[in-house]
Amino acid sequence: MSSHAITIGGYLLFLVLGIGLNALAHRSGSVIPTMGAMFTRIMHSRTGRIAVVAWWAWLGMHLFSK
Amino acid sequence: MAVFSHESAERRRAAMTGLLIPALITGLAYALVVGSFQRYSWPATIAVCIPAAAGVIVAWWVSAGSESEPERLGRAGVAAWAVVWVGASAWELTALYLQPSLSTDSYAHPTLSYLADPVLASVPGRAVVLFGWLAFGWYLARR
Repeated sequence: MSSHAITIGGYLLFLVLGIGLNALAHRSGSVIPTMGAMFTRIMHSRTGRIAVVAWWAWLGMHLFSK
Repeated sequence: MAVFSHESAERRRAAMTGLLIPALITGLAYALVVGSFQRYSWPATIAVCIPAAAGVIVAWWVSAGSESEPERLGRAGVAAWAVVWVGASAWELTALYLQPSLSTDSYAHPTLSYLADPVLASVPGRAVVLFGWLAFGWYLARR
């Protein structure tokens, strides 16, 4: 298996893990928080809110800006 | 305006729900117009920096906390999410550092931005990604 395929396989693995975790979190009585609950908790503090939004801003600028 | 006030997070969310349709139309128009700009051009840079900067300023200014504490999260659940996010970040960073240099892409060790290049090479691809980026920003603003 090539390095290219292994690298892409890793991304897909984490994507599937994230989707699976979120699906588990939506089951009643689950001890796993949803991704939304995680963001809400992190963004409850001003520091966390600015850090997450700065990451979002960086993402857009990284893909499109000089 | 309630969305940008220092009121509770619940009120902000309610106000944002009322703005959903105008925001959708504006977001679509933005994505179509800015998607027609070449990547890394000055028009694209300015057009993306405006909402990015506005988002950070609003995040700084808006009261983040609601009057009630958010639900407490179990350690096991937080750890599970940490594995996903830290793992994915480490995987991306590993691919980045396995490139010949930080500014030279590698087919063998593609980063997510490298994988996104074919999508972002076309106007429809850029428009879809820009709309998704804005939608994610909206989602975060509701948190």
